[in-house]
Amino acid sequence: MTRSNPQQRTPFGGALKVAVAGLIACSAMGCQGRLDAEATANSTPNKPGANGGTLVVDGEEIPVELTRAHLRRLTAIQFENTVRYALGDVVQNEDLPTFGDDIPTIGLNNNPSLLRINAVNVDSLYNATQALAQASVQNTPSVRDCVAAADDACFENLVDELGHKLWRRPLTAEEKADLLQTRASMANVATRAEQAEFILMALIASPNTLYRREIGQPQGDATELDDFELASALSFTLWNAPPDEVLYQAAVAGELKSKDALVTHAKRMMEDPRAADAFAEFFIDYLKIDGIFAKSKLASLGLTPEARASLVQGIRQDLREIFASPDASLLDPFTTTSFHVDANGASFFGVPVVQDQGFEVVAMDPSQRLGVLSHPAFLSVHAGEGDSGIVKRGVFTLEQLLCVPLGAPPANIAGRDDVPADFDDSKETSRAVLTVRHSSQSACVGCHQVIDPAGFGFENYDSAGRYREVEKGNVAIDASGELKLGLETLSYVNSVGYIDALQKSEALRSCLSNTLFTYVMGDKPRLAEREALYQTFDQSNGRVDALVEALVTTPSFSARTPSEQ
Amino acid sequence: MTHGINRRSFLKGVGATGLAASLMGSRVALGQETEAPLRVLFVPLTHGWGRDLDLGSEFTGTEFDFTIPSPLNALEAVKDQCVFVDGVRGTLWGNAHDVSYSDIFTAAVPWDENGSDQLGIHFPEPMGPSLDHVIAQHYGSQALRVSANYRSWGRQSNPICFDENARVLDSFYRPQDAYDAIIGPIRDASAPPQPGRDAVRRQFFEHMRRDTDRMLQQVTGTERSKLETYVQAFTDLGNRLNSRAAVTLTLDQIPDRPENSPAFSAMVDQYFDMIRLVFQADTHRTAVLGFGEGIDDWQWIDGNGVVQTGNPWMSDFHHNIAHHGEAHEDPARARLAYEGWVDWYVKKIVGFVQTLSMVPDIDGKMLIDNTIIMLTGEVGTGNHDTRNKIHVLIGGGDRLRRGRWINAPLVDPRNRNGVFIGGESRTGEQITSGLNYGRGLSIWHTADVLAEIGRLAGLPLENGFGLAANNLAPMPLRLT
Repeated sequence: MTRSNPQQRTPFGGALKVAVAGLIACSAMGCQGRLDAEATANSTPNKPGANGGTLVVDGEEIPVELTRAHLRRLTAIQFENTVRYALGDVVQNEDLPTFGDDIPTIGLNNNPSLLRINAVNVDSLYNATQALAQASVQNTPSVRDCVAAADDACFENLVDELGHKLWRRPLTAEEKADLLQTRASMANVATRAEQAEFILMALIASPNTLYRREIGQPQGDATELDDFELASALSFTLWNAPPDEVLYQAAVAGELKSKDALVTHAKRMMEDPRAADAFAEFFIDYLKIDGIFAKSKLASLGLTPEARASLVQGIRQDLREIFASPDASLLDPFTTTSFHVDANGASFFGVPVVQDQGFEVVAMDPSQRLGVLSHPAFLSVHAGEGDSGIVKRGVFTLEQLLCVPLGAPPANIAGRDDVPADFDDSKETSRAVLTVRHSSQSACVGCHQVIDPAGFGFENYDSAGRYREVEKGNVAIDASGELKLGLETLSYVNSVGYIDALQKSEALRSCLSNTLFTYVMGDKPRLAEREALYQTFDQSNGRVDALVEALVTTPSFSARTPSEQ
Repeated sequence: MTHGINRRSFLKGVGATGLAASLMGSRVALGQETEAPLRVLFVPLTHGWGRDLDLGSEFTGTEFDFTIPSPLNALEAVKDQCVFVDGVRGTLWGNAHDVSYSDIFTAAVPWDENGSDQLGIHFPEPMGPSLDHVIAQHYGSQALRVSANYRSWGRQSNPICFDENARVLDSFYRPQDAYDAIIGPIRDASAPPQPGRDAVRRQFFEHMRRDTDRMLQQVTGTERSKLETYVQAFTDLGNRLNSRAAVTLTLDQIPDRPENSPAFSAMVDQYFDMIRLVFQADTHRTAVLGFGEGIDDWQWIDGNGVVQTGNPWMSDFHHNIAHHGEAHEDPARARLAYEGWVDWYVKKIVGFVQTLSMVPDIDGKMLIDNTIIMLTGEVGTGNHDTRNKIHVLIGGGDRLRRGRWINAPLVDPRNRNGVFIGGESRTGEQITSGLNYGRGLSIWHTADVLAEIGRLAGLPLENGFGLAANNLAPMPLRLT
């Protein structure tokens, strides 16, 4: 596919052509509200404040504006992996905290601005910290031995051994002394087990455990991440886990400032199964699959808690297998033609399963399903309570999959345009009802002429992702359409055709590239890094190994713009 | 009609009064308070409480002799406790739902803002704190914030409460978490003394503070707010846990922890009971209970007088029921279903008011006499109208002139006679709204209601509340 000039792709997160087309269409038709505001807010100046050198993209030298420095609270899985790594196999699932994080419909769940410790989850965290400390005192060998020992020197060893695993850096002398002196101060009232619990609780619940730093040290008008920050960035990106001993020692030796060293470690880590798990989790987040558990659905759809869990477990296994391949591409999930299915989920795929228990890989009818966008877990999340949710699916496709910002609905809905007297909702397709009763209103048409075609293409799937060719008993589904994305036009005759056109589009590919960058860095890419990463994506056809190498060597992986004052 | 609260899962083996009296050992029952304080409960209902200027039946009568229209008419049972403020305006731009959430208790969202870095693309960030927080801070008390499915766009709870740095103050969205925060420390306190564990807990929180201070020294700019929120949460938790010595609740009086994923109705009852508990114990001066969509079996009467249940369109409550405007396939039927839905919540409120009317407070009056409940919403109805939202204030004793209907003065949007209708930009510029359709615009802003409640709670709010441009009504709202 021929790429457009990078300077033409600047203002809208790598999707200039798409966004401008949408903007023009909506504005011309009276789409009010956030569309204009969003366009302004996301604009990147043509000459951004370069503080990260330059990158050459398509032979053109572009100044680099680094992404922002962040404190990033660990996600639930990252916290779990951290305490398991430090404390050993003593952690029970019920001992882990409930963070209760938001699952934004658009954007990423690991957005550093959203992950917090607050009044809502602090009780759960505190209780979990107590439980983990008590379990460790009982079952972690070094802790148990120290409690049973007669001298106090082993408490210092505990701080050394567990501290660096939890905090991903050595403790300073002041930090260590504070912990040990506080422990000693309660020796006359607390048992040795309680003293050990104090050390563990203080380490586990510390902001040094819960937040990973991507702050760095000032270096000109940027900040440079230190070796320990780099080690954490690498390991949490590729494993959702803290650095192993090899990576940690490389940080201790000060080796990670070298891009070659970062690449070497990244390649080593990509061979570990945890890398496939981490990329699977990226897709789970990107597609908002976990949102299925909070979705309200009609009982008649049969989307029971067991079915939801089955669908999510199945798609997670699909993704893990895809990314376990050394040749994996980020585009592979969009083209897979078989899924892990068990008895609880089979009816949603419309396939039989042989086994009574457990999952099996089932080949799908290629005329009915193609890739994760045809998976019932994805389709259930992005649908209504009992309807297919044309607008929901359209908005998600545009904003999340294609990075096209949309405006807010108007403050007041105007009166409808005339509806034919003989128009009968029960005999018309859902898309026809939507068009006639809602989208054709003068206040709505500007945005809905963009949104609706992005949702029509999923009409072969009902609210729970079951394939269908009729609705309302005998009304034939029309899942055809034409989605205009600036210079690209996606024409399709059914849902599989739509999904195929989407995954081949430059709009989706560039948006996916941007989204991966954002997932890794916790911030959107600016012009130079966005274009450079997309160049890699384009040339490698989305190869994960190529993208990982590009990401760990891009300037913002190692240096940042200081956070705003 | 009486609407009892099902407290089966929350209060076990203890009468409400007895439990609260035990809790009150912490403060009021020890003689530290000479007068009963005012408590304030804010109750936003998603899609509003069913009235705006275009939709909904009208009040009829006069200021102190009037008839309450549907869907609020269940409030007849407690009419003498109510003040109906029939129309104040909120934000007048963008997606009225999303834009309004962060404005309804702050009156401080800058004009024409639609999103923010902190809250995401749907929710703007206010420039000032919410009233619940201001009251809590003023009294050095806590605020209990809970959400009964009051959520959207993937947020577990809508962003409606903020501190003075515009940091969102989240709501508990699971009753068991709220229970743990309220009852957990009390339960722990009721266990036999454990000097070792007490020392561990005390030292843990003190060490936590030092540990965070060290990290704060290394972090600048906006990232500090994450650590400040973290340390505030732990500080509040430490205070709750370490102040437990004053609580005299015994182990057999500990109520059961709410079950996971309770039915919506049970969840609402559990939250009400917690609010009653903390108000009676005076551990909290303010509470916020957000009502979202959660019922599917409410009853309503259709145009033929037949009782119906739930959503006749089966799905998509928001568009099929709440959006019952002209564009709807059958707006009249949708309106009736919507009114029945609102009525379900109104009856829950009535039940709560009746409960508070039976709970004695320390001054010999009933708890309802020292509690103001404010019903509000991000819009007037699901049809996105923010020009004239109904507000209802309930309780408050002699602090309020109750049994009253205040009909908001309106101005013609095309001929405003010098009345400023608009907002304020982030840089302080006053901006006049260009809105020029509809029957009228209320001269009062949500800020006027909030300021009055704040003053009743003892706050020095002579200049109003929220952004200055929202406090320019030529005729101030007075509730006394």
